[in-house]
Parts: sequence; C-alpha cells; structure tokens
Amino acid sequence: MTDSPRIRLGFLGLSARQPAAWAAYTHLPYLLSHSGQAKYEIVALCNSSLSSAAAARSAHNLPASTKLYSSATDVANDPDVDMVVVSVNVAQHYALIKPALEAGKMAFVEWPLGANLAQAEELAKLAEEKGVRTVVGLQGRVDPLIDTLRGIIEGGRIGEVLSSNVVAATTQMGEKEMEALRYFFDSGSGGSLVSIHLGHCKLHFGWGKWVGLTERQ
Amino acid sequence: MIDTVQRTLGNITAFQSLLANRRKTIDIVSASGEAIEPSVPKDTADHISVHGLLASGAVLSLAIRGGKQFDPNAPTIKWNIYGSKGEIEVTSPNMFLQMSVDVKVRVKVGDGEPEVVEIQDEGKKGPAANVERVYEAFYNRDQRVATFGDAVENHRFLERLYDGRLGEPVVFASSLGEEDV
Repeated sequence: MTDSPRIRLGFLGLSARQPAAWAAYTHLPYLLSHSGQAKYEIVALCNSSLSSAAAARSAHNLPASTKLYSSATDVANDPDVDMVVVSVNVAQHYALIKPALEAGKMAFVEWPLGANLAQAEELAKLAEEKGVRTVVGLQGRVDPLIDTLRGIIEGGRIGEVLSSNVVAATTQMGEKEMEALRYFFDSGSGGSLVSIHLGHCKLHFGWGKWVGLTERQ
Repeated sequence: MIDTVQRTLGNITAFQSLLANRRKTIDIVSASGEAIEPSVPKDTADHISVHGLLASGAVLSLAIRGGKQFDPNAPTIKWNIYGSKGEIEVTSPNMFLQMSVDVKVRVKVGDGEPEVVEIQDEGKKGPAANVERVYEAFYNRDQRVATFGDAVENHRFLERLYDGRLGEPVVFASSLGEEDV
C-alpha cells in the first residue's frame, strides 16, 4: 500500500484542553507518528469557533498550513479534505458528519454513530447512496485480545464453551459525576452506560461472533 | 470471507434484559471534586443486566452497574469464558477492554494452576493502541473495521433493549426468537 496516496483529514473535535480529551489522547499519537503520517495528513481542523480551532492547532504543534474552520459544512466542502473525522459527544455526531457524506467524503465517527437508531440508519443510507467508505470507532473489532481468546478456544484448551459471564462496574455514573459526562444524564442525547459502555463491549462479549463461540457447533 | 463471518455468525439468539435507573439524581462536580450542581436529574440506566443464549448454545450473562468497584485495587471487570475442560478469565481496571488498560488473560485447565496468557499485541497497549489499529485497518481496507452499516446493527440491538421505552426507570425486554440480534 506504500504507493497509495495519503488520506487528507478534516478533524472535528480536537481541543487544546488539558487534560487531553479523547481525540488528542488517542487519535493524535498515531496521526502524528511516522507510520500515521505516511497514510494520513490532518489538513484542516474544525471546532465550535475559529479561535478554539487555532488554539488546538497551536497546542498540538500542527503545521501553520492546517486550515481552520468553524463550520462542518465548510470543512466538508474543502476540496483538499478526503475524509472527515468526528470525535465529539454523540449528541452532535449526526449534524457534524452529515455534510461530509453529502459532499461524498469518507467518514470516521466515534461510537455511538447517532443519538438513536433513526439517525444512524439515515447516515448509513446516505453513505451507501454516496458510495463513501465509513468507519465507526468500535475499536473492539480490531483488538488483539479477541484473537488471543479465539486462539485459546480454537486450540481446544478449555473444551466446549458452556458459558460466558461478565461482571463490571463502570466507574462512571456513581455517587458523583463530572461535568463532561452531563450528557449521560439525558437519554435523548444518545450517551449512556447502555449505549457507550454496553455498546462497546457487546463486541467483546461476543456475544459470540468475535470469540468464535458460534463457529464451534 | 471475514466479512461473511462477521455478518452471518449469530450473536445472541435469545435474550432477556433489564435496564434500571437506580440513581435518579447525581451531583455534578469539578475535576477536583468541588460541587458544581447538586442533584442533577438523570433518566438513563445505571444498572444493566442481560442474559441469553449464543448460537452455539453457550449461556451468556452480563451484569454492569454504574459507579466505582468495591476494592479500588481490584479490576472493574471480570469476564469468564467457562468451558467443559477449563476456563478463561479476563480482567482489567477499565471495563472498556478495547482501551487495553492492563488487561490480563488467565487460563485454567482442570484442577491446574491458572496460567497467564500474553495478549498478542506486539507490545502496543493503552487507549490509543486500538485507535491506531482502526486507522491502519481502514487504510488497508481490512474488513474488520466497523462501518456505518455495522453501527446500525449495534444501534438496533440497543433499541431492542429499550423496547421503545427510552428514559423509563425500569425496562424489561426479551427477544426469544431465532433471529440473531
């Protein structure tokens, strides 16, 4: 794939805030790494205001040539942007990624895709109509833990799988909660322990498909 | 082929679930713990329990609750895969296993001693590791990447847990058909 062109990104949701929020903490290390820069290039930032976009560019030492936007439509329509990445709270996913799909751009949106099923269906349909490649931040799909577990099971070491049992405490939504998770209080926002915590881990617990449980019988 | 496996393997063939909102209000505090707003109303579930059957016949049971764990030094998640001859135990201080925070895998066969199994992750761990793998996989057109279409399937499952009663304090749901969810 070395001769493939770099994918030029318009990034929504990179903030200068400390401690680093999700995008800065988990997306940037790769995108600014040697191997990340061979495949991707952040060419534009889009934030709620131009000043916060400028602050993010400066805080993360992105090149001065990185364009700044405060409109999801404008960044989507920038001819230099091949793909739009949205890493903000779920309540805004739909509005921020729709212009990218309409512009025929590739799209990376964190999980959950929409605040509800109807939004997700509409976005998926639009992506299909436009023929654009999409990705949702369900990283469990590529987690090597799954291959490791699969190897143990397929190697026959524990015999036939009889059951799978999960017990977990989320940490979040206990006696006190931080301001940043206020959206978890409102079922309409699309963010909750059900959508985010269970929605992510559903892949792991497999409900079979990723640990090969369903293939064995 | 991978795509076929992803799309056709059954998940749960039958389940029953309970979502419950046991803390109707929670205090919102600053990072340093100072009160910002007391007793903020909440209408989302903080207790989730699901049990069901996988297509293989394996029994699934899951209980997740909000809040911190009993022992701050203990894992917040324990996942056991119990087999006819042995058992796998997965633990982590972060229930989001995909964030790869100190995830430990142990296998115990029969009455033997538990054995630690190294995760084949080439030493790449931590919350950024699997985000990197997503970007790499997308670039390489690896079909394990979750598309918007896959996201819709996940949303559809959540919708069935809510059973049209989003925001209610207690929602029991069940799906006992043959259809995969």
